[in-house]
Amino acid sequence: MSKPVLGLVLGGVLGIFDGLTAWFTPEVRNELPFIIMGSTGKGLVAGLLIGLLARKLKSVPLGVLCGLLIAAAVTYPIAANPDPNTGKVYFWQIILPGSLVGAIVGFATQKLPTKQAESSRTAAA
Amino acid sequence: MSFLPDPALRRLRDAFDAPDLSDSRYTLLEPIGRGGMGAVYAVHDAALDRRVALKVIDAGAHAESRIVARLEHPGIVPVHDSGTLPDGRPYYVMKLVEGEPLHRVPLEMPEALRVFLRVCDAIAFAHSRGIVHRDLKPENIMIGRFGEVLVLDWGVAAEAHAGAPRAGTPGFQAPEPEVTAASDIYSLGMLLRELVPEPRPPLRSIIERATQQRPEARYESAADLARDVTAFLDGTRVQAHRESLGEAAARLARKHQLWIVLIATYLVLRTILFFWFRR
Repeated sequence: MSKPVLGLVLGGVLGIFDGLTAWFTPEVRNELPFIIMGSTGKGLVAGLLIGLLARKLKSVPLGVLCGLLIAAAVTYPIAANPDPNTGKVYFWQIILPGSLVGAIVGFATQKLPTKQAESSRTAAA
Repeated sequence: MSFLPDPALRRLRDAFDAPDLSDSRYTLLEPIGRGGMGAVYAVHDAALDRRVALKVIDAGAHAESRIVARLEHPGIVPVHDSGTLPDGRPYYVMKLVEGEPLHRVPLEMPEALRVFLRVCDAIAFAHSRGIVHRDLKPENIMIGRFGEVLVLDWGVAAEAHAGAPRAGTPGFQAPEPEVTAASDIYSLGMLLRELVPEPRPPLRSIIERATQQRPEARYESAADLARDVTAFLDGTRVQAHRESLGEAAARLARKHQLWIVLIATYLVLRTILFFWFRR
């Protein structure tokens, strides 16, 4: 699995989990399918971007930091907008879990063995 | 009873056995050891100014050089030259491998299995050319200076279809009287047992399947055996092993350890955030 694909898959999976956690907030429970779709899409976009950037990086702390910033940037437009039904802004409730997904994807794209790493290891052998 | 001490006798025998290379391009350097069907010496090749190994073959093993020459494979020592000594004994010249025999190299399990896979590859190739080794054991596997794995000592190798009689070393020898490719599979199983003395259940099943008493109950080929060992290394399902649900779960957990840790980390942190916002 290449780094962008890894980022895409992990970002998507964690995005689903992220969306599912909205079930625990009763006031937004009836919007759950849209929240899941939104956070999955957000995870996919952030994951892909983090994976593409990870191809240029070779540092776990830098990978985590970049992942966190990219995911925060992707999440920001959603987090800054007020909820259309309640009118409330859930900025930190949205941006912190979103950034957490980015940090984990950033870590994974540096740490998990990927296709490029495997082939360069084979070439070295 | 002998009148001479053992070392003296050995030196006398070595001097007597030493090949006369005076009319050849080779100069004798030192004896390396005795293989299945002859003695091996380090010699200097004057024409190419390099050290090579020269094996003087005992009577009755004339086919060895032709067999090895047929096996051009990275895991089998290449033959450079062959001829006959003035005393009539045949010899052949091969690459001098600098390294250690497998039994003298301490290896952790994954590395030992990777070495084993390369042995399987060489043996599968020999079988595809209709040759059985008949004497597979750690002493006949060499780990070269650059990490290369070479199967040595094809002195008792034979045509697979000829129904050759049993040969080799007790402990690694298959029980059947007539040797086929399945006999090498048995020896590979014993070799694996030697490399991994305390195997986990799937690997134990691989060894058991390879060392079945009935040849037809063993793996069909060295490639099949290698496939199962690769599956074990990759954490996928081993064909020879019927795993329980718990074993399958443990195997999958081991294989996807980092994924599980990452998702669990996310869930824990997400739970902390959730309760933090609920305060």
